[in-house]
Amino acid sequence: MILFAFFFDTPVGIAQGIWRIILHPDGLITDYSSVGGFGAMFMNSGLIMAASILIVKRSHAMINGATIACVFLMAGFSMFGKNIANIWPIILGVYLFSKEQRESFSKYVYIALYGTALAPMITEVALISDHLLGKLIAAIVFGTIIGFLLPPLATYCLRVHQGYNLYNVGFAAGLIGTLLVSVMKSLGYETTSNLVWTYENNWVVVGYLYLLSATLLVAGWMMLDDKKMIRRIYRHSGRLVADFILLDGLPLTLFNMGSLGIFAVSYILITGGTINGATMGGIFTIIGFGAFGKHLRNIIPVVGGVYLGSLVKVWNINDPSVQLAALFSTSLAPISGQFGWQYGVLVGFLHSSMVLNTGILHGGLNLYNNGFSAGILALIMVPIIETIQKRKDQR
Amino acid sequence: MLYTKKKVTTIVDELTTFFFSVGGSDMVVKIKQTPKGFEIFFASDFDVKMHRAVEHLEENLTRGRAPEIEESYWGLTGSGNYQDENELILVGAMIDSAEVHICEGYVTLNLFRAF
Repeated sequence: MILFAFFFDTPVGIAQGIWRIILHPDGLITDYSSVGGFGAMFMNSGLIMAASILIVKRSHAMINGATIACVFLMAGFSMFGKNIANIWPIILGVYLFSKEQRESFSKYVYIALYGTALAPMITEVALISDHLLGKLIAAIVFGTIIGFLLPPLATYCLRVHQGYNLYNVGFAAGLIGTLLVSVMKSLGYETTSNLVWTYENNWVVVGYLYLLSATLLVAGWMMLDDKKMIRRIYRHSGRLVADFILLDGLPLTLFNMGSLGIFAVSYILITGGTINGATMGGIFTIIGFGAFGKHLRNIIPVVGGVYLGSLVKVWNINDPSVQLAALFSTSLAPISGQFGWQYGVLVGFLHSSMVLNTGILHGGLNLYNNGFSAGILALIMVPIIETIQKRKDQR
Repeated sequence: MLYTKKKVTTIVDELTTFFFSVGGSDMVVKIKQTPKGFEIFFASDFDVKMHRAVEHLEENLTRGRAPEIEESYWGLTGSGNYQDENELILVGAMIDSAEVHICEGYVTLNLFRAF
């Protein structure tokens, strides 16, 4: 990723682009390829990916599907909202929480990394002050607040949706974001909607994504002793904690990740969308969660539901928010995997409406807005679907 | 440490749900707190037709403790109405050691979770 950045820009240009990224508000939807250029965007993403890997390694965590999902998510969201400045206050906040609890920070490493979903809030409060000291204090205070609220809330949210929402921390971050923005608005803060979006495809970037996905797919295929094993992965519902590396091994997982990458890129292009920082964020997240819950059998119905929604609803399938909704609706893939494709289509259809209305609650400052929306939808739909299933079983 | 005993409860809850799902109808649970942690003894019969599901038990319970997985996902244990391997992976991440003995239609587990 870092080396690829130099394909697009000079080192000076990249540095200038990263500076523009750091100073720019990061609320949804801020496509970094438009703010700083593709060079700066890939450099930012590469640096954050490297930092994430380093943090996980230093914590002596087992490298498994959860690690891959986290690292790819960090890489993806570093293309539209997370940057090398705004992620640290939240990680520091979770670190302080772990010390207050007299626990090792390594236990909270995934919560800390996923918690950077609220990084735009750090940028927002830092930009309020004109002085560097004021910016630092604001960032650290808010990062600490978020770091203390997130771990217990993320644990509680799991019980609410029972693992049917893969972006659990997104759900928790959405709740925290809603709370904090509500208080801020009461003190005079005004939310603004933001759309910074690249509308043209860069075919070098498209080629890069296809090459990455194909490499994963071919590598997995070559490593598989028995090619018939490929179908094994589709038996999983995908509900948390579906660690495909532990369940089915690395070769099959790599194959799955590659197949998901090809599907996601192709979906965006076929529906007339754009491969830019934001959609690449979605694609990288899908690829990463190909090691932790997602596969073609459980994501296609959900994405299909979003697509069907675009045929009857007032928006177009290639609207920016709807493109992201299609990619990130795959958070609800476990519903499709557990209960059947028809419920996957249903939740995808409903998600595309809900996600367009949840952003206002947190002022667009929770990057995992789709995870927030998916959590609410899982909370509503899972009990209803289970009741219907139980009635069918009793008959 | 938060929720230490609650986590032991959810481990037992998860194993109970698992053995119900494989046809268990006669289970024994014993929990003993020691100076170093908790010893959990669990025994259950199961339907021999579900032997394949039980075979993976040892593999999933002996992967080694993973505090980062535990802290992120322990809230899932004891939840949900559908049982699959995923919860056993989570249980495995929450215990330090496991001895699994599988006979014809009967399983005994000796688990240990340190403080």
